[in-house]
Amino acid sequence: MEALFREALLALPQAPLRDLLRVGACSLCAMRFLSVRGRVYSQSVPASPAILAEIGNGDGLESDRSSASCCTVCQGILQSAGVGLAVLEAIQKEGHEFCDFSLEVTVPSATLVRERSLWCYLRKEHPEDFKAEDPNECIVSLKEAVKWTFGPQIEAALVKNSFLGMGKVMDKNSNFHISLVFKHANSSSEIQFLSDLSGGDSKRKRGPVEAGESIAAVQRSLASISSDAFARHYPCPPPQLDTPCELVSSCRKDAIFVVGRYLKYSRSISQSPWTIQEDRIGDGSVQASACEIIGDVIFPHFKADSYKFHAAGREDIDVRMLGSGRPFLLEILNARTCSKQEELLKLEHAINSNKDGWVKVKGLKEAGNEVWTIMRQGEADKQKEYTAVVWLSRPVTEADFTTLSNSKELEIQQKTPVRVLHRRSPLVRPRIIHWMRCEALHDSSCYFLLHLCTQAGTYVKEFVHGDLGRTYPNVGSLLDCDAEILCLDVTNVKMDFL
Amino acid sequence: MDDKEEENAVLALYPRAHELPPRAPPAHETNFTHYFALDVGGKEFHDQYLYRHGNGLCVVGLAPSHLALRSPSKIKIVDYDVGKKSRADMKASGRRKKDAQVLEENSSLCKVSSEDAEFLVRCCIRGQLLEVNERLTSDPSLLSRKPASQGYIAILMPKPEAWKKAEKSLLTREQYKQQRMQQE
Ligand SMILES: [Zn+2]
Repeated sequence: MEALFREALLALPQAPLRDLLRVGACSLCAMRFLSVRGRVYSQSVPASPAILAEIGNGDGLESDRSSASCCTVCQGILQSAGVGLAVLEAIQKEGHEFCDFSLEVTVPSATLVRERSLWCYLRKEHPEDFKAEDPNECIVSLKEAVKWTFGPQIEAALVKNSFLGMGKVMDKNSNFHISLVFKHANSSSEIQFLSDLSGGDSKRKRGPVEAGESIAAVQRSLASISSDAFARHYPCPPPQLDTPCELVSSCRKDAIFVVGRYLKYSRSISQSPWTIQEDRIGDGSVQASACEIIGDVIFPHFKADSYKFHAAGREDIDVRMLGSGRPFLLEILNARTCSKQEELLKLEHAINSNKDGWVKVKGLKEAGNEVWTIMRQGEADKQKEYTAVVWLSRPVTEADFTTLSNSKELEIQQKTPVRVLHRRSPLVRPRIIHWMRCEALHDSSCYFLLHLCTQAGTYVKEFVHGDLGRTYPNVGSLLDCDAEILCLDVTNVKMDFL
Repeated sequence: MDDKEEENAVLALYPRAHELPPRAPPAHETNFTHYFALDVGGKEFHDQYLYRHGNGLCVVGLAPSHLALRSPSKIKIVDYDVGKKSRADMKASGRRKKDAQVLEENSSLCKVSSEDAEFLVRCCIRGQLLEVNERLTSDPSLLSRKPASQGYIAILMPKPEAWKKAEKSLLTREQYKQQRMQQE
């Protein structure tokens, strides 16, 4: 027997320990009920008869179940063999890369009932050692024990098969989750009496209860029943079992985020394939969207299940995105591959060498969950800069430039534009034009370049042509002539960190 | 992206000379298809336009050949208080425009009064009234100065069936030009 284990055993109250083993608890469940914690669970565990031989079998008055093969409390979970191998197979099947992992454990709710049953028995036999009504305050939970027991085994199996380096590998904050789901065929029939007992509850939730799903509900109904009432409906100690739980192991990676900014040089490519096209008049020719041009390069690299494209706002299909580019993020679900920064640089280069050259990206990097909030905020409250080619119904003058550039923090009233009025509420929204700057265009007397910075949510095209006078003031009204917009580009989407 | 790339992004802002047409197409021409109704309500030269946006919305107003615009006498009043309830009080609200009133093809939208005549402007299509042009009430001269843009009369949202029906009786811009120019 391992020295550590022997030491731990001898330190425990011998009479309850002996009883626990004789009613069919496995040696680890016995330790759980005696509040033993930590590393000792992962040692190679002697079987109950060997321990009884060590500490003495006592009087042997009652029937002794210590040699039964399946623990009556954990339903054989803590006695499982080959957990490391099962996990290894699940990972190999999926082909995941990872540098640490967290362990998620699901156990059948019947194990809670069996814990309670054993606890009732112990309270009767050893009132000095087991006082509380509810075992949950005292014993080590089965899930916790599973982690202590199998965590190190899994670590060892993964290190041995070169999935992991040495060092700290099991980490509850890891984005890679190994899940151990233990199921038992009899679990639902064993807890049936609980829903029969608590009448009101059973009306809400009838039908077979799935393993794991109802564990909180079972915990609640157990807490509401007195030990005496429990003992009338369920045998104490728990009855013997013929078959142990079955283990299903699986693994998954949290979503990872690749962020960057994109530029769009085309006036016929939309941001995303599901962009609503109805604002647009003209042919509905299907052209790859910016989202697809970017996603088609990045997504395959991660060998993931799927991806979603999110950008900080969007421009109309006929508006180019230049200058700073627009921040976007790709949410990549269940990626098998871990990426390194230099690989992202290669992907960036691959996108930028696309022969069409309509869409470019910059600053690709992996980011954490917090980018989500930054993006949403940036979409709503940041300023946007644009450049428009503007035409006036008369030649442009130096005075026009002065008029526009002197209008700082200009408040305009914008009615919902006609082009979106069919699907948005009819409202008048105040919007701020923070500043305007004009630039003459040579060889044309009626055109000029208007650079402007607006509050997020401003419809810039309408600010220029006035939208039947429904945006007011507008460029035409400010200059006392007709103004039209020939084309528009977004030049800066301000956002910190991205 | 390298520096050259960044530089290109800036240069792209400047249009080439050949990309600038002598006159920029007005938004109310590029964003709408223009239709016309002649002699609305059986009155000669009560001509109206109906601009249909790609999203199905229709802007209604006075065509250049409308008597009110061709007469030298000034337009003095645009009054939306016609019918049981003033058209200006029929406010549509929400994405679904649930309070919007449905008006018929021949329902009146407003009464335009000049120094010596009165004209009723009608919908020309069955649909929900989304908005009237309240600026015309305070500045009726907009109607004669900018009839095709800031001087519009109302915005309607017809159902597709209503549009199909109206389309049969409306003239296209080409047809309108032929008809009215021949008569001039
Ligand atoms: Zn056990």
